[in-house]
Amino acid sequence: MTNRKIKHLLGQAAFHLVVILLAYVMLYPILWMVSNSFKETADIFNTTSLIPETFRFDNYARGWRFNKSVTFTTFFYNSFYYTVLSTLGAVLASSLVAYGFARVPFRGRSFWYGCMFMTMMIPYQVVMVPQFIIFHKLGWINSFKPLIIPQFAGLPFFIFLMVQFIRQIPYELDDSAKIDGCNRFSVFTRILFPLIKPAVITSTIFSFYWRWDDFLGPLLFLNKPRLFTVSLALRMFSDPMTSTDWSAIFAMGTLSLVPVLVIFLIFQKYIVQGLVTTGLKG
Amino acid sequence: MKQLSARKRAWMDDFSGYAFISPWLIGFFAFSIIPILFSLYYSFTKYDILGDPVFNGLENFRTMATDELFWQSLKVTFFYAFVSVPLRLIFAFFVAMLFNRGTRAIRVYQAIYYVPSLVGGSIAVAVMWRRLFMADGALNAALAKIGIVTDVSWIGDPNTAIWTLIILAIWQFGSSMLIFLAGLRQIPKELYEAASIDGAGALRKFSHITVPQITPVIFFNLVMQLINGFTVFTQAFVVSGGSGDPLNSTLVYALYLYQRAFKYYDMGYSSAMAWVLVLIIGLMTGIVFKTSSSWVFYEAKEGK
Amino acid sequence: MKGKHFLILALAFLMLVPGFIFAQPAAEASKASTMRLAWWGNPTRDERTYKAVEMFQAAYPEITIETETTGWGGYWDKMNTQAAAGSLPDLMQHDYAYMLQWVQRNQLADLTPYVQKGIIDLSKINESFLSGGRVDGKLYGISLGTNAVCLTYDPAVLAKAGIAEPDSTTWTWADFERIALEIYRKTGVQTIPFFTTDPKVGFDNMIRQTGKATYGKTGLGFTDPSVLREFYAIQLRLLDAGALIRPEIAFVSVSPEEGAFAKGQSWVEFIWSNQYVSTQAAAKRPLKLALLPNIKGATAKGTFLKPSMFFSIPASAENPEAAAKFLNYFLNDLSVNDFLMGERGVPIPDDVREHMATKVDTINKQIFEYISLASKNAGPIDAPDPAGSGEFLKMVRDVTQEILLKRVSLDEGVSRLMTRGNQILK
Repeated sequence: MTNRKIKHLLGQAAFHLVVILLAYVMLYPILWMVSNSFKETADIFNTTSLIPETFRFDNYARGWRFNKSVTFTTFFYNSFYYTVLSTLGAVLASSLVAYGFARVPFRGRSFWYGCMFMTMMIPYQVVMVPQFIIFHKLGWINSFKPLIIPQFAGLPFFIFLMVQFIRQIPYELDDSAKIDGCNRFSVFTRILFPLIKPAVITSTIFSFYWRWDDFLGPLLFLNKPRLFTVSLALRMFSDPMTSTDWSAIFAMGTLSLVPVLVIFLIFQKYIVQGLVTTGLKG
Repeated sequence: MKQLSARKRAWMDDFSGYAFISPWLIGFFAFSIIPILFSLYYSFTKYDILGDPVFNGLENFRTMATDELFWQSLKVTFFYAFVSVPLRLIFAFFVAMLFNRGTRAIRVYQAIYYVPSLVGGSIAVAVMWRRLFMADGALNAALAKIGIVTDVSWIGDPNTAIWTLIILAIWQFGSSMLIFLAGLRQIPKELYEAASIDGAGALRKFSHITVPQITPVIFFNLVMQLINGFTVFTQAFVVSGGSGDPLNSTLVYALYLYQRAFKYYDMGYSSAMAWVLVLIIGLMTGIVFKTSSSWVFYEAKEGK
Repeated sequence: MKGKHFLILALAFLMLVPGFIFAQPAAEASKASTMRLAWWGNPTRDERTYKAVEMFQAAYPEITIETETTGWGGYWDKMNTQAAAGSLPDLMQHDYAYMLQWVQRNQLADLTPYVQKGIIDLSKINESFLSGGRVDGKLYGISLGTNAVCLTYDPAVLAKAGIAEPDSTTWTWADFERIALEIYRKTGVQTIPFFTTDPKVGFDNMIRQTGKATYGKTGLGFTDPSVLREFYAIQLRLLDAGALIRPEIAFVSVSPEEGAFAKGQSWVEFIWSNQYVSTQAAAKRPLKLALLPNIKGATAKGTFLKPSMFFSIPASAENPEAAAKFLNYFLNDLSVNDFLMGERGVPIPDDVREHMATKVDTINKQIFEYISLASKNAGPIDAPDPAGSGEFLKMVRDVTQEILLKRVSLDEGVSRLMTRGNQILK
């Protein structure tokens, strides 16, 4: 009996040891960057300790000022602007479209639903060049239009997620609302939209992440430093041949991760849920 | 509401259905179908964006056959996708197995293991990654601590550079892990209990219950991640400094396609490359689906 | 209803809060008097150019300048992309090698109108300095300085190894090799591979010494690969002796501060003379400049004076007037040149050059002296690069690494360079 207990405890200890060690290895790169954002540049590549000798917060001030002509105030603003508007568009449009696919028995429904799935399989590289040329001809380059407007068409991934969700909601709710005199649109806004809240929040979070991290889109369509998002600015900041102020670069890199981590801490449950529902279904 | 005639009702449904999906439908034509048709047309032309496209038949595809960089980028991409995706899935699966128990601390661990997936797509991480693997980077410093002194430049040596990208991909196994964990928890407990009664050991339970039950999840993730693996761009772009250095060993397909389009103004050629990519992804997905019946276990569904 | 409230709250948090903090989209915020300035650089140049921008904005408060800078490697990728998008900056740094190609694609504006309007003052500039920027009588770029290729070395290392400093007008590659090996034997200090960012600059100098040019009217301008072969053979011999810095380290792009030369791992670095300012700033120790060594049986001069660091106004510029004003300020203003300190090359306006000569600055003095030495040992400049040179240079850098990493044999590498070069440049 005691023997088994000891064996069990030892097993537990070994488990936790392995898992904690692995967690350390996993987090090491991020901790390394955060720690370097407080060090002096000269110390970054000379010391291995993760705890800086002195915390230098001026790295952040220096990084934020960037090259003085444009600062990270602009870059963060641009990133938020792009992310928030895109997310708003993508989520609202996706929920509307999802309702149409899930609840309205119109002719051609399954055909279009199939088309939507097809677009999920087409790599972005196929439309990249023609989109660039079309937006160029429209004079949309160097504006957020090519990045934001397509989002207002909804994202197949979110539409799929919400359709799955709506299908689980009993029809009786719609019917009773219709009896109360609601038309389809008000059924959607008053009854269904509140009910698919988890899917909406999940989509919002994912859209936020994707837009926040988006690099190729801004790289193609935004050329003026004043329009740069945080991603583009970090890339310009860390140009291999001209960068020397690595502590300032890491400081801004660390800051760029803050919104992502904050949202994760608040909405953890929804993220896991979203991953699971979309990762499990075929 | 008054009862409407069936025809009128169907017409109403059509109207409201198309009204609801109209944002997507418009976007589908404007941002997918029309560009796709253009892309198909460009792939048979020589087009430098400044002038007009000039039809040149299959010339782009013929050039590809002798374009060493094209083949190099294919090689790099296949290697990257076929090494990183299975490794990441295997890793995720085993960690998920490890976590598939009731300890309270698991939730914290899960969150920690998920963090790399969370931040892995960001430029900040890609920028840091480059510094991590340089000759004076953190990896060599850490190796020196455990007694292995080396000044290998992991990102400078053509033999190792692609591995920095592969490790970056594997490092982000957290999201697959969470998916597998959820899959594992959906396996009915009764199956294990019944097996225990039959006297099955842990290994047998694993190979006869766990693996078959989880294969649909693995399969779906394999397909999706292979597609993502074939189109990887940002990480390669940043870690290699935009060039595919050293010696084109990180020149992934999407990066070469980008260079062709926006560095050499070869819009026609890069469009043709995009269609080859579609063919490859289609083919790969097809193969995975075709062979899936022999290794994916689907629960018998009602009415089957 | 409760769910709905939560939803609204969540959406408000994610979307509206940032909207309140920042009042107006940046896309519309840019003013008509904003101009964009782009250059390739290094930390020293960037710092000085930022200072110049600051001074200009103080003198012309109605103009705001947005700056973009990258290393040489990424610069042309970026500018090509912007050219495709029709969104080039208002003023861009340009290079002699590429200018003709850009003019032929109608991407640069003629600067003559701004000169006639008196915005750009060229009165103190000798015409010979301007000819490099002229195509068919039109002025497409103004060079900020004269440049020549060179090598810089650490005299302290030579002294430590007991080696006399070379007379760079007469020394040969055999001398160079002997010195490199001896330094390695006595001090352990290695030699960096030649011109890692652009190896063509290195062998171009050797090919010119045979009276030929790298580029011909079509294809390569030379048929005998023996000099090219020697360019790599020297490096391979040093590599085999352990005296060459390993290519997998040397070919990783880094800033001058992090380079092997600044860290004291190499006794020599191959640069353009204007890069001496940043190289010196990074190395933080006394350095010297020398001409590239001669080949055996040289029949012509390898070195040439290159009008460098052109500034051009793209045809698509949105604010060319402001760009012209800045260019003039950058070129002629004495106080701003006190900060630039000839970092882009020896200034071309007579008064600025004379003014700079009064400044006691050892680094500039060295560059001035080197340029006058080079001008006595220089041949005429070759024609600008032909179309396809971008692809050619990329191939050269690849093959160079293949040879030095011993992925191909020397002969195979050289013959690949010759055949592929002729294919690309056909």
